[in-house]
Amino acid sequence: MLLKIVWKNIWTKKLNSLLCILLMTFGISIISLLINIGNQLQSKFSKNISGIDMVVGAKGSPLQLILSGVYQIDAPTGNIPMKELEMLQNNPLIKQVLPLSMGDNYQGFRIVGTTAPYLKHFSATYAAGGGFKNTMEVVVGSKAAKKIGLGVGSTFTSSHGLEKEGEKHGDKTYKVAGILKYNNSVVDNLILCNLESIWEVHHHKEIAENEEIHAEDQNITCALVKFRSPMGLLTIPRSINQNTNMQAALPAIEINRLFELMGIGMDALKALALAIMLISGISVFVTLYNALKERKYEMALMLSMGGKRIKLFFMLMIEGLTLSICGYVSGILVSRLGLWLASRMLDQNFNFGLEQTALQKEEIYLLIAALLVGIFAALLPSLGIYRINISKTLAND
Amino acid sequence: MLITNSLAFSYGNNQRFDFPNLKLKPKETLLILGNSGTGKTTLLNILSLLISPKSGSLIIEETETTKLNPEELTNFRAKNIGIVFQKPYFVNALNVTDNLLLANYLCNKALNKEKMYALAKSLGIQDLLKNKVQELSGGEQQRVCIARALMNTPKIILADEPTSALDDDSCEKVAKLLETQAKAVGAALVIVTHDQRLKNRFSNQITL
Repeated sequence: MLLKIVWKNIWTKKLNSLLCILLMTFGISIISLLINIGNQLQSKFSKNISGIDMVVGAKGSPLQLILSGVYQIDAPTGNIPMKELEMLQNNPLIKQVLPLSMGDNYQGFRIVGTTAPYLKHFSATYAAGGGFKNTMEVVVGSKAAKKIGLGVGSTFTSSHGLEKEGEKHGDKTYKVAGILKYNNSVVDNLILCNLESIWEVHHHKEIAENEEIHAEDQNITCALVKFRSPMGLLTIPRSINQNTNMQAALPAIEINRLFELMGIGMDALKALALAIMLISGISVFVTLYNALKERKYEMALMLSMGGKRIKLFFMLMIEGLTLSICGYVSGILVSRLGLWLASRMLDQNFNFGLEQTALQKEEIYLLIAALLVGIFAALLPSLGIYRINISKTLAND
Repeated sequence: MLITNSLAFSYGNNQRFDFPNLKLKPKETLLILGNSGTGKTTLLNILSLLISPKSGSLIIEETETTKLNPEELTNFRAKNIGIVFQKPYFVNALNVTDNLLLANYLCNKALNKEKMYALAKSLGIQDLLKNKVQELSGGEQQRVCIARALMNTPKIILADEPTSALDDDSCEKVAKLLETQAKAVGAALVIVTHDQRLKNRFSNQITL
């Protein structure tokens, strides 16, 4: 009966209740969306970064080098000669050098020339087929394969550049040797082959244009470097930056910088969302406060009929809490919908998907915050129950 | 059933009411008359246990109510006293049915639907049970209030100016309903009014 009264009261004041719920929904969904996207970006970024201590590439913005080399999202900074890497490979402080060569794509998915250890580094496993053994054989990441519809044995020709609309390299066809399993890392969106394949495609093209290309003039885009000991971190980046035409960028530092930059925007949005939640609380407060004024007679009537003040107190509290919980639930639903939309958009534009997640830890805190807003908003009006003078209110002489 | 002895009440210091002693048996009706300011409503509030008298005793159903604590008073009132207020107050969000059942609920009794249907039928509001209370006419609202006052089978029914807002026809009907319904549940009926029309109907009268 009590809950029925609560429900009927909320239903009778549809517009007011809707406003409260809507404000709460907005606040909650914005915060939850920020939390989810932030968490997923961070986990995705740190997963791809793990094990890569340094990226070496052409001079330019270090952040750009990291974004293009590690995450395959920005444009590359330029090319460096393969020869320069040999110096690094022989350095005793360096454990592993993974050369990367890019510049072509197939239907928007980057074709990256590399060596077999690159796949091992991301612990990629094959869903079908095997690795690239010969030139012009490729291994396709799971997402890329699914989207383009490639299978083992398919053939295709690449286009120049990183956009779909690049000029076609019509004369050379790639053949798919293997498809990777999904492993939530950058390789999901890549088409991988050996370095020679990339050189071959460009070699032929460039020869066609001008004849003076030498076979030993082999360029790569960048290299991912793993150190053997932290000592390398202290000496090598500096010596590369000072003594060579290349630059060395440290992913950990650059990504921290990136998150700091993004953090400012995130914080501003979070503050805005909190303000919206607060306004929702005030609106619950005003709704209940007005309701109590209007319903003073009702309350006095129920008290005269044997209702306990504590019961009516909880009735109003439940009303406030119901509104904020409804707001919370719909806020979470809206945030999941937003996540889905954002994921679709990111997927289309950057081949970067977000996952639907279970309730995050921060969202539990958010629930507590929503409940607190509901409780505080309902508290003052509810306490008004204790101030009602039954006989005076009802006699109304 | 209802016995009062030298009840007195005062608001602040300057205004003091001393009420005549009352004695009422089941199924009896008492009309309390008086002009404004004579303490009619105060007496009714005391009788309905909404305010405590300054002195004197008020015995309802062999219970000395002045000795009860606030919680016992609330429970006692819910069980034994049915009040028909001057204005028809309702819980506006609920329909007629739920407003009637609310009396059972607040008294911690099982919701008695049969009783509700029976009362609604005898008061002629059986077709209005699904309606919202605001949609009813004044007379219909008054009848719903009477039905609600009877839901817990009270020992005493207190009515505060139940007819003041009604035309002659409805006044007659409401008075008759109150009387017959009180008799039907075996309750004493106290009506506080300045309505002259009721004077001719009820012989047992007290003027304050």
